Parts: sequence; C-alpha cells; structure tokens
Amino acid sequence: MEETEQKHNPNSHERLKSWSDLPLDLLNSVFERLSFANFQRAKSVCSSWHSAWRQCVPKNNLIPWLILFPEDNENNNSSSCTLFNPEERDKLYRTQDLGLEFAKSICIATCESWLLMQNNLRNLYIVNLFTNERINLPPMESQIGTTKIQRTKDDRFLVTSHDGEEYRGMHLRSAVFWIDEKTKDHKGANSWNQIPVVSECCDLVYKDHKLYFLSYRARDFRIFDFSGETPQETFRRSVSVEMFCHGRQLRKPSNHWRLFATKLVVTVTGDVLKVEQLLRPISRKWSFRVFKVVSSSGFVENRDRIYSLGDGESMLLDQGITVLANETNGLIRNSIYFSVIDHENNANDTFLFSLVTRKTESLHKFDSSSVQSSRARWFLPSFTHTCT
Amino acid sequence: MSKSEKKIVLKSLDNEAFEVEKAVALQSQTIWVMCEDKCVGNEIPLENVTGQILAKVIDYCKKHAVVDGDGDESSEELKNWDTEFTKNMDQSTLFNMILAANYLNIKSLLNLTCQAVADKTKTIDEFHTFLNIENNFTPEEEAQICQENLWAFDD
Repeated sequence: MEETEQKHNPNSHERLKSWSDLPLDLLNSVFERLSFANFQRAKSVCSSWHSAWRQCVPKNNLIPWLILFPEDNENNNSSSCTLFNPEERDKLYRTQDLGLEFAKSICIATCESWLLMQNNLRNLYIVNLFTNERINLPPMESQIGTTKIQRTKDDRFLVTSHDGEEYRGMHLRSAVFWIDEKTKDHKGANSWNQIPVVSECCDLVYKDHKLYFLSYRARDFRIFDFSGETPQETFRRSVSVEMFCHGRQLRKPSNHWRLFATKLVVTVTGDVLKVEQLLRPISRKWSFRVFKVVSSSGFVENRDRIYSLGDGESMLLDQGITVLANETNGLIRNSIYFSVIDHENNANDTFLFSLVTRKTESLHKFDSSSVQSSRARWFLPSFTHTCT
Repeated sequence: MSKSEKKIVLKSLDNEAFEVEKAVALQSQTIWVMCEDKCVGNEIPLENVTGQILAKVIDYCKKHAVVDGDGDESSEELKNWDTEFTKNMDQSTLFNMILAANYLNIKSLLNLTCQAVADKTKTIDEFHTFLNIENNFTPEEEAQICQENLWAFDD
C-alpha cells in the first residue's frame, strides 16, 4: 500500500497522505457518523481535527444512554452520575460532582443532555449533565392564568382554581422539556405561561416543534404547533382514556392488573400511539397495551390495538418517542424502555419490556459492582453544547 | 449498440487499465460527466486513483450495478456484501477509498467508507493507532481539551 501512495504522478494533485489532512467536508462525513462518545473523542485526536470538530454540526443522537443517579444517603459523599451507553457495554462513564442538592432531587424529564429536576422543596431547575450548567426555573407558587398556587408552611401547595375552589397538594403528572431557538428569549423569565385551554393532563410529548397532549377526563387529544410566535392547535380528536383511581385500589390490596399510566408516544414515522402501562401491584409485574391513535398522514385510526412496533423500532417511553434499533446501537427492537419514578422513596428504576415475549427485565444487571444506584433513567445525550 | 459503446476503459494514476461495462462505470458522477462531455474517447484517465484502489471501486460498482439492474433490491444481501467489503480494509485503504469515492463522486460508496471509519474507531488511542494520526497538541492545549472533556476520558 505504502508504495502506491508514494508514487507521484506529475499530472495529479498532490496526494494526501494522512487523516489529519483530510478535507473538511470529508472529515465532516466521518464525524457525523460517529457515536456520541466518539464524536466527543474526535476533537482530542489532533489539532486539525480539533478545528474541524468545532465547525461540524452533527446529527441528533438517537441512541439512549442510561443515567444512574447518585444515591441519596449519608454514606454517599459524591453526587456524580454514572452513565451507561448500550453501544459500549463494558464501559461506564462518570460525570462531575453535581452537588448535594442534585442528589436530593428527582429527575422528571430530560432534553438532550439537560435534566429537568425537582428538589425536595418541589422547586424546578434544569442542569446540564456534562457542563454542570444550572438554571433555576420560576418558583412553583405563582399566578398561572386564573389559577393561583401558594406554598403552605409545611412546604406543600394550596391551589385555588378559577372558580374559587381550593385543592391541597400538587402533583406533577407529566412534564416535557425542550430547548429550541426561542429558548434564549426566555432567559431570566420569572413566571409560567399556560398553554391555552387544556386541563386534566394525562400525558405530554414534545417532538419536532409539536406538543402532543392527552387529557384523561375530557377524552381530549390535541396537537399544538410551537414553531410560530404563539402555539397553534393543529389537530384535535377524542381519545378515550381509562380511568385509574390510585386511592381506592391501594386500600384494597389485590394483584389484579391495574392501569398504572396512560402515555403518548410519537413514532419514527410520526404515528401517535396511546400506551397503557399495567401493573400487578403485589408481584410488581409490568405489562403494556399499545393502540394506534393517529397515523402520520393525519388519518384517525379506529383505536386499533397493535402488537408490534414498526420496522425494527424500540420505544423510549420516558421520552415518548420510538427510535430505530439496530445491531450497532445495541437497542433491542420491538421493546419498550421505561423507568418508574417512586415518589415516596425518591427513586426511579429502569426496565425493558419485550413486546415479543411480553416479559419485563430490570436493567440493574448493567450496574457494575462499583455502582450502587436504585435511581436510573433513559436520556438522549446530545452534541449541543449549551442552551443559552 | 456496438461493443465499443457498451464498454469503457478506466485508466488509473499508475497506468493500470480496467475495461468495464459502461453501466458499471456510470455510477460515478465524475465519469458520467466526462462521458457526457464526449471530449474523451473510450479511455478515461483517472489521475487521482491508483490501480489497487480503482480495482476495489470497480468491484463495488459491479456489485451495485447488478443489484440495481435486477430491479430486485435484495437489500439484506447487499448490506452484508457491503459489510464484508469494508470489514478487513486497513486504514490506508479506507483513507484512499474515501478520497476515490469523493473524487469519482459515488455517494453510496462515500457513505459506506465514512461509516466504516466511524465504526472502526472506538477510543482515542484507536484514532491515533488505527488512523495513524499523530497527536500534535501542545501540553497546554491538551490539558485544556481534557478539561472540557473530562467525562469522555474514562477510556
């Protein structure tokens, strides 16, 4: 090989010899195919790669990583997270120390490498896993439209609705979190806005500038387009949601399947799925029912139950999306990746449910002995460096 | 169509001549443009590609021309062939294949070879050893990049 390289033809351009000299556009073609971790490594290879790296805009990463949160207990003096990449099964990454408050907070949503966290005073903040950049969100107590939220002495909340009715306690049922080109305009904002006329939120998904909303009592499914100045409702139909009543069923222990949650999922091709997550409370067994609610063409499906995801897809229930599974990314096709937040024990847990075998496995086996964490969650690490 | 019109001769940088079907060669946009121009005869000189690399490029084009011609995409088989094709290529061959695919403007081959490089390098050491790149950072630069990149250095 070397001898052919050294031959020099006077008619040809000077022949390139090294990967360091690869023209920028070709280097970009290689860079954009690197996995998240390798893309980060590429900049450390040599100075010409480093400068090319800075100009490269990589594609969005769609391979979820597992984040294992620091244990919140006295023996633990480090608040760094452990990250597991399904592509590199023999390897674990550690983030920097994210602070004591982080260890006492719970993650309720993620967007790229940013986490939406709720601390033990129920205040919200976002933090970047890799840079430790942190932004506090406006306090929960506020006036949102006609609804007033006050903090009581015992750090609970008193909610006064538009008709003067009072509710004690407040529970964040579903949260989505996204960063787009408008985010910087909201920097320093100190209040919350209400999405026009939605109530009884069952689940939310945000994908490609669209917010998918499902209400549980009003049988209401809507799509809002957030690409313009103000959110526009672009689609609405009735989707029934089975009711689930936590209280009564908890008092009467039984091991019958009960509906734990109803979630929305948007697929790779843009179909909207309704996913019912079922639980046997005593044996802690999980199961799922998947229904196609709206197809990508906007055609309204007749609530068809489906038994398999599209061509080689895996579902990331926490993100409300499906992604393509293949051999290189290590995802198992036709499976549902999900985590469960246990509010009482301030914990989450991560599972994989196969639609083929209909069995659930806990993903704790990925933990090496050096990692102790009962709190874990899927996220999609991103190349974006900051959100501001 | 006469025989001479169906065949074309590609001549490498080191003067190796390859007679191939026109349909095979025309997967290269560069060759296609050259043929359109009609300013070349049946022999096309490719100044940037060695015979050794050109032989591989032609293998690739032959395989892909046959499959396209069948009208049957049999994509699984073709994918496997592509994987085998790049599997044992060393870095120097891959490097020259990328340059050749770029020069000849064969998009699918460029994608395939760039993907192969991306798949073959998993650690910084692999970037350095497999791709034979010298780490030319000053210690100060290196320290700064390490700082930005702490978590990825768990190698």
